Amino acid sequence: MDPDNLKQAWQSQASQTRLTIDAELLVTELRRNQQQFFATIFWRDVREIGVCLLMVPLWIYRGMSQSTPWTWYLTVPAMLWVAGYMLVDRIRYTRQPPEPSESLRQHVESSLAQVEHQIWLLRNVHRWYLLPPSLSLLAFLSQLAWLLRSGGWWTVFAVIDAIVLLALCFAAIYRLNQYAVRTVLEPRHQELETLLMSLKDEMPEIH
Amino acid sequence: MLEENPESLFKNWLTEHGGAVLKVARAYTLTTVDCQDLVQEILLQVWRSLPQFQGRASPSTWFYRVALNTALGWQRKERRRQVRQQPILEVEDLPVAGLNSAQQVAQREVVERLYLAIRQLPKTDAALVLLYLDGLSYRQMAEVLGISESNVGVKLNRAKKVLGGLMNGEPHGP
Repeated sequence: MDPDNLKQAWQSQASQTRLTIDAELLVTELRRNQQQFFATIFWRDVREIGVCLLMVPLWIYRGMSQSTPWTWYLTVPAMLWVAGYMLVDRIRYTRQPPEPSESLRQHVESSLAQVEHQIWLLRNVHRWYLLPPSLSLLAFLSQLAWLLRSGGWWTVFAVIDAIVLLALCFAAIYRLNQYAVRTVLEPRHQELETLLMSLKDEMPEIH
Repeated sequence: MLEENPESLFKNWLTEHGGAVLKVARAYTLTTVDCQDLVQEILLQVWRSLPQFQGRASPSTWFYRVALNTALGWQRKERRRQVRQQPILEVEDLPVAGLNSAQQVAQREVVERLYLAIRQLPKTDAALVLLYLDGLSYRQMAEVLGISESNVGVKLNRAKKVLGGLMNGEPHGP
């Protein structure tokens, strides 16, 4: 079939389709959706950054009330580091979705940059998120073991148990993040790269 | 920036360009529920982006940009599927003046086959074909996609050939 005939059929059919939109209801629905969107972003930031910041006074209070060794307080800078890192990352790479009114190519490029940054962040989660608290807790447990060395093997076993539990917990967080990269971000990255490739300049066919 | 009240502008544009949104949504989804979901998502993005509309592009080009960008990044979400007591949008096919019922059926069939063929095209080719079928100029297509006019020409020629083949029942490889 000739493309121009297809175009004609498409346009005449389109002109015979009546789309009735309840604009009032739609605007109400859109306002509600937008409020939900901002609430989601706000609570995600509160959850991720706020929890870390909230842990700081709680950690200091627990340390003082239980008269723990000084290495207990090493976790405070570790948590401040994690919260600060997330905050700086939020400011540098705003999590707002790419502007939908850009051209398709610009939109794909900015989406790709955003996905690549997310992949980098999750692939390196052990460096910026897991390592600082691991080191501080390891220092605390080692000092505790030294202080309780009179307990002999029981102390050694208790500390090893705590370290293993901690390692398992952190390994689970790491694996969960890598799972998200593999199942969500990498397929999306590939899809966006394919889209971008399909928008690159092509040479006309030569007959 | 906008001089008119965004809400009334949104409603006016909805009347003018709602059809384009529906066509984009139909081309990128398989079921009516998904189509309605995508239409709503596109309109939500239009609503959010409206304050940033600078007037550099024409409203129709701008609408296509938002619709296609949203459609290409859209993923079906089960949790969004909720039955509303009052439907937000309704689509109705009107009889075509001057055509008998057999001709109307044949024309609808052609359009249905076109949608089927478009869904088999790579996503950017599908976007190009949609813009072509809606009668946009090469310049407008280039503005929507962010590529050069000559590139639009090359890609569109190839996409039209593939579309023609699909309409004639030829299989399309990946």
